[in-house]
Amino acid sequence: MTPTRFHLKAPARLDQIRLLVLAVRAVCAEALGESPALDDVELALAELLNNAVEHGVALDPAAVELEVALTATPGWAEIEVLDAFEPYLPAEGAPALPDELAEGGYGRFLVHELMDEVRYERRGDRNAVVTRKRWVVPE
Amino acid sequence: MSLQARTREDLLILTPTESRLDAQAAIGFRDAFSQAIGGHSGPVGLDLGGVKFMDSSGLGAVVASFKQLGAGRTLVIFQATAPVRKLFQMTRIDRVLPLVETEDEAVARSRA
Repeated sequence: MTPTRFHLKAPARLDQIRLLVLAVRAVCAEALGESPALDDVELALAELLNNAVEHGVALDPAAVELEVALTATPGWAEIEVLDAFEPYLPAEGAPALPDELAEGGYGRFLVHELMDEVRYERRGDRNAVVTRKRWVVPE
Repeated sequence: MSLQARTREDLLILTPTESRLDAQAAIGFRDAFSQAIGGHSGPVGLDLGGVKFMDSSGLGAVVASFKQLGAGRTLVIFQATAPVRKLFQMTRIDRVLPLVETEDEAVARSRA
């Protein structure tokens, strides 16, 4: 199977995040098949993109592009999120769950819970989060 | 994001009119919730049967709305879809805001 590659760019706005998430979900379903992993990828990607915008509030978000790259290979979806906001490289490893009844701070925790692999990189002047999800299609 | 409101016994039942409670919808949800509970002093039910997607921003809006009710008031969530239920479980919010399956259960829980 030839890998399916899908690449999207959009302004760093909340309404664009919704569209990016829906587009990636649709391509994953087409390339890899219907799976419970769709819900996990959809939520993880939303959290990654929300975090990117949230950490970039010092800049004009609308002037910054978000970039999502999907590579689908048999049994795996690899999703990269890139942004040109200020450097943001959190400590490696799974973050802790926020305090009980916190109203925020769940984003990175959820990404690590939902995805099989998560790593953070700085690529030139951009932040990159590379995630992978094992894809199992129920029989 | 807006909320449809109706009452059953003392329970004020609020139903989101959109299927996605994400970062884009979260502020609207909080505003709509705040407006809907004005003048109501009893328990509140949140029917999430139509919400197919919720992220942590949406979850945060639900938590903030619960806190807005204040001590001693009940928020009962019912009919949550599988992805939404999973989000509540992963974040352990379900330990503080229990999810029940049906509206009848929500009404019964609100009487407790």
